Formats: sequence, structure tokens, C-alpha cells
Amino acid sequence: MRRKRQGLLGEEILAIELKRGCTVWILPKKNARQKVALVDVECGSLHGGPIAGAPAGLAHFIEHCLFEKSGGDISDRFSALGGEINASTSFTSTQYTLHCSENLCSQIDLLFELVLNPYWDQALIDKERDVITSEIHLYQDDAEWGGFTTALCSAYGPHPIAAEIAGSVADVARIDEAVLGAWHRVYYRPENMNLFLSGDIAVDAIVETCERAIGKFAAPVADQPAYPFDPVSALAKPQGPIERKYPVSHPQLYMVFADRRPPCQGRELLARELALELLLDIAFGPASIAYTQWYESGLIGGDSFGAEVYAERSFRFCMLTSETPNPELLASEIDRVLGEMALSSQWQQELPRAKRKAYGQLVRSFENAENCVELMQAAVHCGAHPFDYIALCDALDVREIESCLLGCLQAGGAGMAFIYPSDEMR
Amino acid sequence: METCSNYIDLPMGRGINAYWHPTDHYKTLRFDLVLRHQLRRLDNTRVALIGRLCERGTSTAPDMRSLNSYIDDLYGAYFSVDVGHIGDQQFIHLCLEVLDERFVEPHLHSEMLHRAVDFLRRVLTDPLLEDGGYKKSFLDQEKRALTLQTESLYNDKIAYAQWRCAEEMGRGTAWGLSDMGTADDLDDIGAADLWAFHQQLLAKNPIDIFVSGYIERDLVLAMCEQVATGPRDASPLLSAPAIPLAGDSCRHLFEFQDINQGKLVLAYETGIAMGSEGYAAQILFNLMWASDTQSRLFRRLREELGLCYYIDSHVDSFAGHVYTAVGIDADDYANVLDEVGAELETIRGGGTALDDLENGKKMLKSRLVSMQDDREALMRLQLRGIVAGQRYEPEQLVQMIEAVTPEQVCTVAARMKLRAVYFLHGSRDEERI
Repeated sequence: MRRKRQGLLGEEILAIELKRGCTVWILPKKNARQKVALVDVECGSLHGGPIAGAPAGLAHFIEHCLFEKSGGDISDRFSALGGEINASTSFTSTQYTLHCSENLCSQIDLLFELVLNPYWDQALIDKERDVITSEIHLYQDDAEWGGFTTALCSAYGPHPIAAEIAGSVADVARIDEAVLGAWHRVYYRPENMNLFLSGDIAVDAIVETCERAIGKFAAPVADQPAYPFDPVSALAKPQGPIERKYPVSHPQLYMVFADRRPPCQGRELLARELALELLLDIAFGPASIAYTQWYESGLIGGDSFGAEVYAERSFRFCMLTSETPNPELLASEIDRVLGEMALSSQWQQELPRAKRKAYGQLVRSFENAENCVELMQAAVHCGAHPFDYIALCDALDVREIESCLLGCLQAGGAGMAFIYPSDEMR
Repeated sequence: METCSNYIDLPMGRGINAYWHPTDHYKTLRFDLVLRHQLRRLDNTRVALIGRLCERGTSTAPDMRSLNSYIDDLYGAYFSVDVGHIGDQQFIHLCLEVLDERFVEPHLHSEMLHRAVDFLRRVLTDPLLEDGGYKKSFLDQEKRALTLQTESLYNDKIAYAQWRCAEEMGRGTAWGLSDMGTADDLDDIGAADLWAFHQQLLAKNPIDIFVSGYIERDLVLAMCEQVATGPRDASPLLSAPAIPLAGDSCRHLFEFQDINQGKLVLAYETGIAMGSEGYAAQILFNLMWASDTQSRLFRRLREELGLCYYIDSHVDSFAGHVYTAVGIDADDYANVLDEVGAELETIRGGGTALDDLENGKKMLKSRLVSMQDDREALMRLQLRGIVAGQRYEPEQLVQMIEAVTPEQVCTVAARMKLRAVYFLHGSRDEERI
């Protein structure tokens, strides 16, 4: 067991590697009422290499199917123990999250049954196909989601990162028991998983439960060939702005700045993420000159304007979004601000403020079990330790931040989606 | 320091009510200040504008850049203003979370708490003024922003469908007014008259201040005094009981938009409000009906028939309404309505498995116990109780829910009267629906 303390925060994180490879990360919260457990399986829409010709949307489809067991939906058994179970699929990971206040050990056992013990049944697969088709239709009406994926397409070209995570209706129609089983055998192995826990937790009992559950449900190692788990790396291939129409009330801008520097991981990756966040906050945050100007002139809606950093081992990008009467003008204004920052180092005066803010936000994310689990997952997924964030907040060098202007947030380098109201809405 | 799992009342007089939640569970101190007003035409638009103007500037931090820099300097304190309504009352809610000084290197903080409280006071009582009123350009910008906010509801089809259906159910009543204001009234609101109205709110309306974190009682009281200064003459504001809808017919409303998936919202009237008999049974019924993966409609429509991806239900416990929402294919409209009706009949006839009832109770208990780690949820529960004149502690709700019998759940089902069916769809051929 590895144990790390962060003195100022008064928090401790334990990391226990189980015999079969899955690592259990625990952030104890004495006297907390809520307990949160998250199983993170390292596979998402960017994986797929080992399965030739696998349809898109497989990672997401399997996330749905695993809930079906021979005795019915496994959520019922969580529910009988007072727990609530949820799942989601992203570019590079599939997450199963449990919220409960009691019976944690029995529910950890169920969590491993959920992910490790599939039950395939053609009728259930067909029914799940209908549900997922309905989910795809839901997202097709969602301008925000459409703007997001369209801007990614503009930045990266026709790459899986710009594709629908759930796949298309045609992809989903091709998914059958054979590919589901193959996917499960490749990716759903203990050594490809992490378990994150926070709450008032009896550590020894949990570790024992995990070992026993994995012994019970995981297939013997010898049956499985080893595959590399690396997702497909996304490299920027700018395509120019893309226009789309949606039933929305006002136009919207989505802008993606892809990071063109070589991939990295661990602490270096977290440093890059933090550097991008600081830079975006200085350039466009609520305390920036640009924000006030654009809000007052009506160029941005205010409530809808935001910037976010997505940093993983296989890709990094920044996404800026806003409702605006004039997406093209706002995009050129964003480029103007970034161009000015590249020419003058005056923005560095804002750095102490931005760092203080980042530190405060980081400390706040250690407040409750749910945020603790999310933070641990994010850091470990990057190959770093969760406390690295805190150390970096202080230590981050100004050159690291400066290099983001050339390497990622470069004027004129963004992929863009302009969303306009459909004709009938005007 | 003594700690407590819930808010404790600290009476202050002058229409200021303080609630103290001493706990060492968090890394921040949290302040929630709520200014309430009767929901009524014209005032609803004024209150909505004042809420937005609170984020624009004060006499000492006269624009967004300086206001937000001040907050950032307090270690990125979290500050938000939202305007909402509970029943027939509208409120402005200021929230400020500031880092507990124990988690900052000692030489780096100076009077953080004092600066945070001073900030709240200025935002609430000392906005940037010109010529005896709000700054004209700020007001005009916020009128535009409020219009945009209202129009943007249209973008989120699930929220839009819910809002439209609730609008139909509340037509002609106080609680049917929008807390985002009424577009037609914007031109009638001037900068000076809005500031006069703001001052009147501060002098006449109840202010509730919730403080949670590692903080002593005396300090809480001193801070509350500091925030709400000036002469006050406020009387309690209680919500009036909702008036039942007239007649017993059900309206069917259809709206076309260029969308792939239809949004169906069913509005039921039960007449069961917070504080009345059946309140706990209604919460349990709603969970078992459609607001969870264990619910009857989720199982039937999604798990057995594959007719939908999302389905949800919630209670408006002031009006005594239940809203059930589901995303479906336009072609399945009639089929889904039939299925929903049949499921309701089954529950009415006593077809609630005891297992389901027990599981529902466990889940609600788990949520209510976990609520004690969630200050936002605790504060909102208290606020709803204050407005309704009937407050519940989470433990009390747990007991009430545990005592619910299967018969009481059937009774709620029997009282579910379908009053409006709203369908937002993308089918150009309405005959097919």
C-alpha cells in the first residue's frame, strides 16, 4: 500500500494494488455520510485497434449491456442495498459510479460483477439497440453537443474524436454478441481498471472484498491475449469553419484549439492542463478585459460563454463556446486577443491572481466524496498522482504557460463550428 | 467547536433570519443570502433584473473586471446570483463560498472572511449608481441579457417542453408567472424606479442568511448584522395555498419544431402539497412511478419495450402537480399514452410490489442521509420549508417515508388527475400522431 499525505489540505490518499492488477485509490473522509465508488475501465470511443472492423459506438453499447444479468437488471440489486448506480462513456474511458450511504462492501462486490461478468442475450441486445437509437436521436437535437463534435471535426478532420461516442444508428445496427464479447475480453480486465473510493471507509474490509470479487468474476489470465490499450492519438488536421443549422434561438460559436505539441503524460500532462487553464482564465475569464468588453457590447451572452481544457495522454484541446449574434466576429476577436498576448508579456501580471483562483478551486474539489473521486480519476487517468495538482499550482513555471500560446492557443489555429438557427426558427 | 448536521435558527429580528450550520466537514465557508418577494406581474421582471445587476458592479468595484478580480483574489471564491421561485414567491439568491483560512498558507491570507462579507454587503446594498438610479447602460445590457436568457430556454428541448407544459398548468395564477420576468414589461422599467424598488425590497422583505462551515455562532451573528444594515420593517412572507384547477378536463397541446425526438410531458394534478397529508407518500410514489431506473415507467417503456432512452418525473409540491416527461418517437405517441395510462391503473389497483416499495424507501433514505454532506441541497430544503411554513429536517423526512404504507401509495395514484398533455414533435404529418 502506498500512502501520501498533503499537509496543508489535511488529506490522505491510499493506493493499493490488487493481486490481479487493478489499483484501488481511497481518499478517506471521516464522518462523511455519502460514499462514492467509481470503477474506471480504460476504454472509450478512441479505442478499438485490436478488434478489426469493430463498429463505432461499441464501448458505449457494452456499457449499456453490462447492466443486464441472467436474473434481470443489476441496478435492482444495488437498489435493494440502498445504492444508485450510473455509467458513462467518454473518448478514452468507461465509468461506473456508485452512490450510497451504507452496505458498501456488498455493493463493491456487485460493482465487480457488473463489469467483469457479462451476460449476453440476443433479445436484450436488440432491446438495448432501440434504447441507444433513442439516445442518439436525443443527441441529434442537441445543438450544444452538435457544436462540440462539429468543432472537433473542423480541428481534427474525420477522426474518431469528432465522431459520436454512441456511434451512428447504422453503426449500432451492426453490433452483435460476437463483437461485444470480443471487446469485453480485450478491455474489461482487472489490470485495465482502477477503483476510486471516497467516504467514511473501512479500508481493510474493502480491499478484501475487492480481491475476493475479482477472484470470483474475472476470467483466468491465461485465456486472454495481451493487447496494448493505447487509444488512437488525435493530431490536428484543420478543415476550416463548418456551419450547421439547429432549432436554436440564437447563433452559437464553438472553437477548438488543438494542442500540436507531442503527447505527454504524468505530471507533465497535468502541468500542461493547468497552464492552459491559467492562460484561458487570463485571456477570457470573467475578470478579463475582453470578457467585460464583449459582454457590454452584446457580442457574448455572458451566461453561455465559457472555455474548457480537455487534456489526456492521446489528445489535448481547448474548447471555447458562446451564444453570440455574430460567430465570425467573435472568433476573430478571440484570435485578436490571443495574437496580442503572443506579442506582449503584459498578461503575466495577471498570473498571481489566476494562480490563487486555481488553488482555491482545487482545494474546493477536495470537499466532498463525489468531487474527490472525480479528481482522483482525472489525475490517475493522466498517469499522475492526484496531489500533483496541488504541488503544480505553486511550482508551475511561466515558460510552461507561455509555450501554450505557440503550441496550442495560437491565433488563427482553431477549428470552428458556427451554429445558426434553422430557417423555420427565424 | 460544536458541530451539527443541519442548520440551527439564530433569531435576529428586523425580518432577518440567520441559520447556522457549524461543521468541520468542508474546506470553505458558505453563505447563502436569500431575498424573497411575492411573485407578481411587473415585480417579477424587476426582481429578475436586480438579480442580474448584482453581478455588474458596486460603487467600489464598478465593472465586471474589477468585481470578478476581487473574487478571484479571495482564492477564487465562488460567487453566484440566481433568481428563482418557490410556489408563489420569487427570490434572489446570492451564494458565496470562500476558502477556510486553515487551508491557506498563513502569510497569504489577510482578513479573507471580512473581505468576503464586505463583498456580499456591497453587492446587495451598494450597486453602481448614476443620477439616483442604476447605471443606465448596465440596465439596458441586462434587459438584453434577460431577453436572451428567456429565449435560450428554447435550445434545451427537454427543459423547454417542461417549461411550456408548466406554463399551461399555471396560466392565470401567481405561480404561473415566469421568474425570468415578462418581456412586455421590460420597456416600462427605468433605472431610477428600479433602484427605488430595490431599496424597498431591502427595507420591507424578509432576508434569510444561511452560514455553513467551521465558524462560531457569534461571528455568524456579527456578519449577518454587517450584511443587512439599515432600517428595516419586514413582515413574514408566507405562500398562499395553491388553488385547484377549474373543471376536470385535460388539455392536449401539440407544438412542431425541426427535431428528431419528440418530447412528451404529462401534467397531473394531485392536490397534495407540502405539509398536507400524503406528502411523503407522494414523494415515494413519484420515485416508483417514473423518476428512477427502478420505476414502473422506466421498466415498462424503456427496459421492456425499448420505446425511450430518458424518462423522468418530478413533483411541484406547492401546486400539488406531478410532471412526467419522456423522449419518444412521434409515431409512438398514442402507444406511449396508452402504456402510461395502463401502468397508472395497475398502481391504483394495488399493483405495487412490496419489494419495490421497500427499495424505494431505501433509496430515498440513502439520498436524504447523503444530503447532510450537501449544503446546497440542505439549504434548499430549508428554504422550501420556510416558504411553505412547514419545515422538515432530513431525518424527519426519512421517518415519514419509512411509515408510508402500500395503501397510501395507491391513494396518491388514485388522485393523479391528468390535466395537460404537451407534445413537442418533429413530425410534419400530424395526422399520424
